[in-house]
Amino acid sequence: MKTPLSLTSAIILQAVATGRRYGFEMMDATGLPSGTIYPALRRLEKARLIRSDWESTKAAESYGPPRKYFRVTGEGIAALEAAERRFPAVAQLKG
Amino acid sequence: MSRCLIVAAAAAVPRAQRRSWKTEWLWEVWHGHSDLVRGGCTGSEASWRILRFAAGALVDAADLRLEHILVALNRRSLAREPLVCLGALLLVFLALAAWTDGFRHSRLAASASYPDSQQLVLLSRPAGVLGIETAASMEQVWAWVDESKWFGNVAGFRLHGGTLEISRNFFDVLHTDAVPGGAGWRFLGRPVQSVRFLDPGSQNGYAGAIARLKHPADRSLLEIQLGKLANQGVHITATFLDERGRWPLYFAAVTALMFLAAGMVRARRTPFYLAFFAVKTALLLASVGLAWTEVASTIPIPVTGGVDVGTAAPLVMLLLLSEAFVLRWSLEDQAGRCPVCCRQVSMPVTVGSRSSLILDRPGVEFLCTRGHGTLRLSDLTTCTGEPYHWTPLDHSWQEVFAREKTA
Repeated sequence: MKTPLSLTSAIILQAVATGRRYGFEMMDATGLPSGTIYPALRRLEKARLIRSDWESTKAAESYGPPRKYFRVTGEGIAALEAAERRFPAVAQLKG
Repeated sequence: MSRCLIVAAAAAVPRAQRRSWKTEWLWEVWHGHSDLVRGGCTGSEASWRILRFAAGALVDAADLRLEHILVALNRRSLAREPLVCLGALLLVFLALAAWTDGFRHSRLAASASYPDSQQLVLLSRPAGVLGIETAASMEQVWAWVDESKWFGNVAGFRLHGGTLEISRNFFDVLHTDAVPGGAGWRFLGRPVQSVRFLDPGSQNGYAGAIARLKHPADRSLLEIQLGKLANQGVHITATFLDERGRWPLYFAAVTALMFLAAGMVRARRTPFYLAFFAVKTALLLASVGLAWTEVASTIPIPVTGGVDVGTAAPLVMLLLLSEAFVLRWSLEDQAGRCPVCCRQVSMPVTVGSRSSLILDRPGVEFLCTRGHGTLRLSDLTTCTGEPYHWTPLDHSWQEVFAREKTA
């Protein structure tokens, strides 16, 4: 990705990388409002740093309707490493 | 509450993404609430947190819409939208209104200039050549006014530079108490710096006469009375002051309506197409007409109340040419629009063959970006007068243009 990640995008990418798969979980983990998280997720997906999928109907049947989840791509991991060098605070969110 | 918020926000999301976007948010809200309740939150606390979460849907929807607009801008397709065209024309109209202080001169011309000004008439005498009017013979006018049942009073005046020379009863006729003469006062469109009363004996020195009718009268009744007077050998023309002042406004309005009607006859098609044309052309003609009225209203009225042909003729020509120009532009713009959605056609492709003028005429074919049809412009239009040819496309083509229908 040519344009470096902003701090907000890096925090959200870090949250996805650390296993927060859903928007609501990310809001809890980062403290950012949902109005910031969702547009950022869309941009990250457009930049191919994350991927989104709908849960399979089978998995969803066990607990509620299917939910959209996000996961980091290979490019996303590389971009996150670069962002951690730029914003050391982002690396601290891993724990 | 959260659900209502999401459903409301979904209205702003581009149509192509709306369904999946709404599903994503609604299910996330459902899961979020369940997780909170299972995590030990009370019902009201969970609802409050979910409401805060759902508020983000408004921002997200606005962001999606903005993104969609920016993409449209990048494709330069926004300029083709009919509403953008109307918006631009409306902006021009509003800018013109702001620049002319809300069409101040036209408004002044339309409003009454003096108390009961509908009873004020300017009197003049036909010169007998080309309908030109000269100052009325005051001696005759006064003599006739004395006998007349129509005129209450008549006053004489002469404009000499910035000085208005008047008879003693001038302000009685106008029904104004104070002697104006102050800064900004105008009489017949001319600025008046000072006022001077003339001796009663100098009646023939007046350049014009203004009379007040005893009662409000319409033009036809007054003309009958003046006709009787003419039979007695006194030829007098009376021009209603208000009517004369509003002449540019009336003329511009009638001309604009005539041009609009002419345009409507030529642009017959679907109701939406016609409505768009009517609004667009009306805005254009109104802008031109009011701009012209602003200029025409500032030109002083001749003291005889007639028309100064030297000034009026070029002005009238200017209005007619301007209105014809904007109507032509409007018709040409309309011809280049899709008759279904009124968007400008695009993607020109050269078609036909220059060596085959009968079976395969050369031309350029444009496409409606929404897939409603193609517009063919013949290369020979200028010499043969061949009209633009619109070919509608059937529904099987809609899939090809699906990406364009995201708005």
